[in-house]
Amino acid sequence: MSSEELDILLVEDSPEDVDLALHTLEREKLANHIFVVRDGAEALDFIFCHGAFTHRSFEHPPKLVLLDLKLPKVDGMEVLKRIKSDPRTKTIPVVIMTSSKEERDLVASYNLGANSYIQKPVDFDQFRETVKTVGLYWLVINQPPVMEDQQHLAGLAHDRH
Amino acid sequence: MKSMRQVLLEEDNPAKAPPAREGSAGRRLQSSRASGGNPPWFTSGGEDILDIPDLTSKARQQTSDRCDPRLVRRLNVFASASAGFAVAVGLLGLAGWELHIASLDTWGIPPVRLVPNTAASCILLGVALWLLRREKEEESRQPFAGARKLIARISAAIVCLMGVLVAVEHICACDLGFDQLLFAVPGAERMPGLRPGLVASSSACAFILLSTALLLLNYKTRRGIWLAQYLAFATAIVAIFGFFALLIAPSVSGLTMAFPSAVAFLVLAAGLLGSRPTWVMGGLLSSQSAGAQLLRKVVPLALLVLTLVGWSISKPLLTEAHFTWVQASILAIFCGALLVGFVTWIAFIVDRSDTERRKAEEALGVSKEDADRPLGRLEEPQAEAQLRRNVNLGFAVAVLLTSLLAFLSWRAAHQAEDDAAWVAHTHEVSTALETMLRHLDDVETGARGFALTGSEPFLEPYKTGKYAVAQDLQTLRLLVADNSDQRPRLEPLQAEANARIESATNVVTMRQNQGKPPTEAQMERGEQLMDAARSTIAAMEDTEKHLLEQRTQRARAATRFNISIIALGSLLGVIFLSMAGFTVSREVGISARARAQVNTLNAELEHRVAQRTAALGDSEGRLAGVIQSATDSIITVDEEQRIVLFNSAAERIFRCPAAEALGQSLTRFIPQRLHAAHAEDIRRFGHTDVTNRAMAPKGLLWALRADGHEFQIEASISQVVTGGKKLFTVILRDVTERVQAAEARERLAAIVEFSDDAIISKTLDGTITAWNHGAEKVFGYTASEAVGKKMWMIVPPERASEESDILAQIARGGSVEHFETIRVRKDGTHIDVSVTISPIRDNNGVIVGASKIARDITDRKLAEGAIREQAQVMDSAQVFVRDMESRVVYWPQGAEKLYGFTSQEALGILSHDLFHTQFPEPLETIEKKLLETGMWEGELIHRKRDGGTIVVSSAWALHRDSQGRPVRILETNIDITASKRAAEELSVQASELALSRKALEAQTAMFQLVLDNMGEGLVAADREGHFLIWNNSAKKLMGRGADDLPTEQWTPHYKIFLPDGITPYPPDRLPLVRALHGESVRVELMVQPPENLPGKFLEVTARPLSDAAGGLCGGVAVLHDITERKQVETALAGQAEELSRQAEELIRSRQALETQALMLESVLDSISEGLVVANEKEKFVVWNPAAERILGFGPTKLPSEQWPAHYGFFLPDTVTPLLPEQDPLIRALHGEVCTAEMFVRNPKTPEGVWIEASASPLIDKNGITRGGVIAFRDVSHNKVAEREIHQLNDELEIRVLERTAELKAANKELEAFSYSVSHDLRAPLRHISGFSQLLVEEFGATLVPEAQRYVERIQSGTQRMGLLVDELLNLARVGRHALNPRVTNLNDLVAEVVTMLQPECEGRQVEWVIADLPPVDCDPILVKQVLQNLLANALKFTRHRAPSVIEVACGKEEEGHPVFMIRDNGTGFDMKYVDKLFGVFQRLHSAEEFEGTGIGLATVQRIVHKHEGRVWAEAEVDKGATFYFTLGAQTEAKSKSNGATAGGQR
Repeated sequence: MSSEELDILLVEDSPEDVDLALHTLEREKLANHIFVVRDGAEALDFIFCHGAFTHRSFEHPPKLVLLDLKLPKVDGMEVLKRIKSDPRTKTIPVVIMTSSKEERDLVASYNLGANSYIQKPVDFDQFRETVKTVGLYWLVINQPPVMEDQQHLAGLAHDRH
Repeated sequence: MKSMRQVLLEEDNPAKAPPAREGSAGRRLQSSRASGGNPPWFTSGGEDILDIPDLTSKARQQTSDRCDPRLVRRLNVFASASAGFAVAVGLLGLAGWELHIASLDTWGIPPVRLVPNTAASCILLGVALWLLRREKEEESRQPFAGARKLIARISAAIVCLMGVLVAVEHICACDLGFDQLLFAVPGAERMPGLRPGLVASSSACAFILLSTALLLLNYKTRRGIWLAQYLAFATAIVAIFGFFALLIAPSVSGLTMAFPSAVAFLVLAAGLLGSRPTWVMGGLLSSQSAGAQLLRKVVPLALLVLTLVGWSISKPLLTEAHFTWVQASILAIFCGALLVGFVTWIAFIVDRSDTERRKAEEALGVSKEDADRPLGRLEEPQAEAQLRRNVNLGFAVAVLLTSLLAFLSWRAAHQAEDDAAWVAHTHEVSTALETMLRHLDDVETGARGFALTGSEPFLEPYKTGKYAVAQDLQTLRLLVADNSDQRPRLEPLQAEANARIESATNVVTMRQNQGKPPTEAQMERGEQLMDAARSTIAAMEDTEKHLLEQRTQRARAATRFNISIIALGSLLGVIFLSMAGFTVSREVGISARARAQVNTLNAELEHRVAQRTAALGDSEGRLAGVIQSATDSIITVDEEQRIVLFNSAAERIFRCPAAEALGQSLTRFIPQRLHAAHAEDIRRFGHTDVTNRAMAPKGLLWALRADGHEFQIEASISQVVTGGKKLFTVILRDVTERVQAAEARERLAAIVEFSDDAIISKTLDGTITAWNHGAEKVFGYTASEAVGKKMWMIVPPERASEESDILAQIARGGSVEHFETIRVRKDGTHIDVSVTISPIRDNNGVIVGASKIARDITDRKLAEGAIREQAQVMDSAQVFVRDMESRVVYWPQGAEKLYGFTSQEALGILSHDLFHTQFPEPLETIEKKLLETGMWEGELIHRKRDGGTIVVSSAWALHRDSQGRPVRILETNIDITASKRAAEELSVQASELALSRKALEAQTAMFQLVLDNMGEGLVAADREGHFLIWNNSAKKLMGRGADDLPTEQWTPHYKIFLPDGITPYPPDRLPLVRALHGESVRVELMVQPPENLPGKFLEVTARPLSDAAGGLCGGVAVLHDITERKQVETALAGQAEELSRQAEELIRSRQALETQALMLESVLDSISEGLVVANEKEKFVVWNPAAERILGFGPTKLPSEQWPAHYGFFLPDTVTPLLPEQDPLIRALHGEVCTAEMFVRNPKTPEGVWIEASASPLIDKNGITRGGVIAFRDVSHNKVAEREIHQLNDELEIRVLERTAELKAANKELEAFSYSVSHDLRAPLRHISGFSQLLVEEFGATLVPEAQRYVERIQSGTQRMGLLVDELLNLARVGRHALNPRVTNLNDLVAEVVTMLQPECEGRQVEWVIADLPPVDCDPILVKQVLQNLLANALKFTRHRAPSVIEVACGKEEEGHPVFMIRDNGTGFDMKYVDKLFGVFQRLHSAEEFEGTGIGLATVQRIVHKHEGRVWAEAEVDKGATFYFTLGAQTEAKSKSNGATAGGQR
């Protein structure tokens, strides 16, 4: 899989949810390139091109990060915080997709800069509809920032390091 | 016609019916016949009364007035024509079937055809109507009347039977087999769902009604109601209904009428009414009356207007589906019927009033023109003109308003129509879009299918789709031409569609040409293109959806407006019509009342005429009797002087029988010489208008008896004109005797009159009846003044009884002769009269009065009196005569009496010698004077015979003889001795009086002086309280002088008080007042002088004053100023009191001191506080037992520095010894006030005590410290308790901390639990749902149906579980949620929730009624949850209601909090289970009926309780439920403080 074509980074620990999400996304033909990570640490590695993902570059961020909150190792909230606090990654749309509808999670997520907060519906049809809508919106309708700016920002961030 | 007239007459006014009239006329006839029996001279004018009005002819005229014959004829012709028309319709219909020309049965309004049976019935009905069109009488004159009637009846009966059978067919849904009796009707010729040839149910109804009407055509009820007309009206309504059905909803089978039959029924119904025009509505239809005219004019107009209005609004009414066509038709017919009914009603009222007016006019005998003409000229009364103006104005306003409403309604209808069109248009666009998308899909699927499989059938949809897409695009272009939003999207859409088609074409061609399936890239590209097209179409659809929503809303609004306008219009119409009706009926009432009054007056007049007539008859009879029995002769002659009446008195007087006299000339009874004069007199009288007068001056009339004897008469003549002839009636009387008597009387009267004696006649009661000339002269009164008065007028009061006695005597029959008495003249002088009185008797000898002849004898009496007097004077005068030589020549008795000398002794004696006269001057001088003047006067002193001297006043008169020689001297002496002596005495008395007055004056002056100078006040008053004396001191003491006032005002005027100085002195108790009442008193009082000087105390002694006779004549009061004495007394008394008080006080204080000391001692001994006092020398003076008990020691004599050590004083820490300078007592001895806590421990108190001590110095009056006192108490117990409390508090705090920590942990745990529940519990559910779904989707085909069903169960289970988890979490969250209240507008929250619930309202009719809710302080998030749960519940449980009504309101406050209320009209619940309502998982309905978890209301309750509020519900099964809640106390306080803000926000 070539890194420049990545559409979605799915951060999800439950294999069932992964299956269902993937199934939906594929069925709706919304995303062709989906990468799945199973915990927060792996997600951070992927986004910040660490560990197993050192070969990745910031120049090809995922078009969308679907992030669960309850994750092994590193909490989803932490992942969100890290993404949104780094100038290189903060423009990446992060959609929190979780089972919980806790008010405080909602507030905390938005405070940390989440682009959207979605509760996974129990009903599969609704779930499918939700995933489809999210994919449609972020991958098709939404206009992402121009890459040059992003690279520029990334460059700046590097300089500061 | 005759019978009808009868009916009309009976209907109109039974009171006026002919029999009654004939009765009254008959009565009059009779009375005039009775008058026919009167004497001939009264019959002449009798015919005038006999004017019998031709009432029957009038009634006839009235009836023919009512019906317009032309109209009746026309209506009859119309009836015939309508019958013919119906037959023609039927024949035409049958011809249509025969010739298969459908238009003959539809008349151009398809789809319903006139079925053969209906056509046949029309013919039968037409025939029946034709045969029955004439009225009964007329009909009976026609040939074959019986047969015609029979045929008509049979026709009608057949139709009726058919109608009934058809009705049975419709009701029972069975086939009786006669539908196609006449023609075989093909199946396509009838409405779906109906057998061909079946008559419509509405037509059947019309058949029954019409045929029944025809059968009852000649029948009327006993009250004259014609039933057939109502059946005809009903038929018309049914026909209109059927027609509406045809126009509006022809597809509704059974009710729809064919157009020809509807028209035929209407015409037949009208014709039926026209056949008896005079019967319709009681003859109103054909009447000429104003009401009928109104009816004929207004009803068609009203129906036309109604039709137009109905037509204009029917479309939106129906298209907007607010009304079904049945409702609309019923509404229309109802409105029409209402309108027609109302107009008819008004017409009836107008008609009645018109008839009444007509009758009134006739009764008054005024022709219509006469009645109209003067009325036209007459000025309308003010009030009526006003009323008419108001009515006109009201009508104008009504017309304007109605027009406006009609216009608005028309506009709104158009608007609604337009909007509906727009909605349809939007729908079209949406459909077109969908079609296009489908076609595109077809193209795509077809192409792909073909490409993948190469199978040709796939190409079919591809090809059709390809062309259809182009067409769709064209259609779309047309449809959205007006929409600028959509137009620009068409181009890209076309491009995308084209691209898609192109790509598909490529694939297809590739497959066709190269036979290879498309590459993945191609497929992908195709899909992308497809997606693009899809999204564009989706966008367009969205726009259309949006538009649709807008337009639907607009259309709804327009419809709503329209409906409200219609409702308003109808309401206004009803109001205006009611007002009009009311006004008209009131007018009619007024006119009816007026008419009733006229009737009453008429009746009264008639009654009076009858009475008069009867009276006249009576009087005629009486008159005849009178004439015959009159004592005066009565003779009536005609103009030729021929006698026509000669009564019995005339017979007697003229001594000629009536039979002889009648018919003869009157001249026979008149002396020859008077003939000419008589004729002239009669002639002249005949020319005057005078009816009655005396014939000639008295004494000039003479008559001739039959025997030729002439006699004098008195006569009066009267004339009457009867029957154009003049009759003279003479009443005459023989007055010969009377004239003679009168002459005799006159002679007597003259004698009486001219007698000089007063001749008066009077009645027995003394009233004067005659008064002659003599009486006038004697008494001064004229006859006119005296006659009628009483006799006592001329009797002096003192002799009043005399007259009564005389009258009494006369009444007894006696008489009085020459009785001399005194009477009074008019001028008041008394005169002497001699009266002779004799009784006057009437013819029967009864005494009725008295005549009195009085002669004035005053002169005689006077003369007699004068002589008598002279003699007396001479006798009594002391006069004697002496000659010139002074010899006494005449010595009368008076002189003898005076001097005592008899005449023998005196005569011839020298008078001076006799009397020893002492002269005042020398005799010579006297004599000389006498001779000169003939007179001397002077005082002489004479000696009487007894020797006594007397002083006489002497007057000497010289008497000369005729030659002037003195012959004698007349000496008159009057004894003045007594008067002389009296004068002397008087002068003595006078001088004495003068002396005594002087003495009195001096006395008074002195007295005054004394009074004025005495120190005491003196006041005296007479009995009436007028002050006589008021001396200076009194003035000083009282502050004022004597003011003459009533005694009651003395107190306020002089400001007199009781000695207390406050109470005003009671005026009746004042000393002087009491003295005036005879009391002697001594009192003290106080006077407040003016100018605010200090008040004076006075001692007043008052005594009554008595006059010489001992009577009370006044009172005197002596005022003594005792002010000073009073003051001194008061001062002394004060001092004494003060002294005794002081003494008492001294005693008391000593006792008190003793008591105090004792008490102090005992107190000191008994108090629990220790008390120790030390003097300045540090020596203990007090040491109470408590001190010893607490400290363990008694007082010590040690110096103060050793005290702490001696008593073992420590600081409260129990270990640090107290320094001497810290000792409170020592500090107090140094002048310091202090308190301290100490611990005492010494050998006597080994366990030690805590004491609290307070000490203060003892300071004497001079401020020097004399010692110190210390009080202290044992506080050891307090100390222990305090410690314990401290210990407990500490423990508690620890426990609270522990508990809090525990709680915190639990809370955390709970939170973690719910968090993980929220997170982890849902995930597996989702997985189950997901995979089971996938299982169905992907392997559905391979699953047996049973398995599929299980999977569905799994899915619904998971969904339900998901819902449960969500709501439980919600509930838990609510519990944890910290309340974050702020002022919230609940209406906003409700609006949000309603919007949120909108999707659930889709396809339902939901009516939200949301009132203004007050702002409250609450947590908006939680309260929104409450509203959401409650409103969602309401929505859920009203699912089966249409419309669902959900009401949100704020009720009245409960405990100061507003009660919010959510009410629905849903299924409600049984109040039995109300306790369960708010429990978790408690449900009152089954899951199949209403889904739900049973947590929502628990959440609501939790939130409300969190707000310290209350939530409850009321409901009834199937009646809806109401939920109430309040939001509690802590929020309210805040909301109040934020009230201004909240108010400002609203």
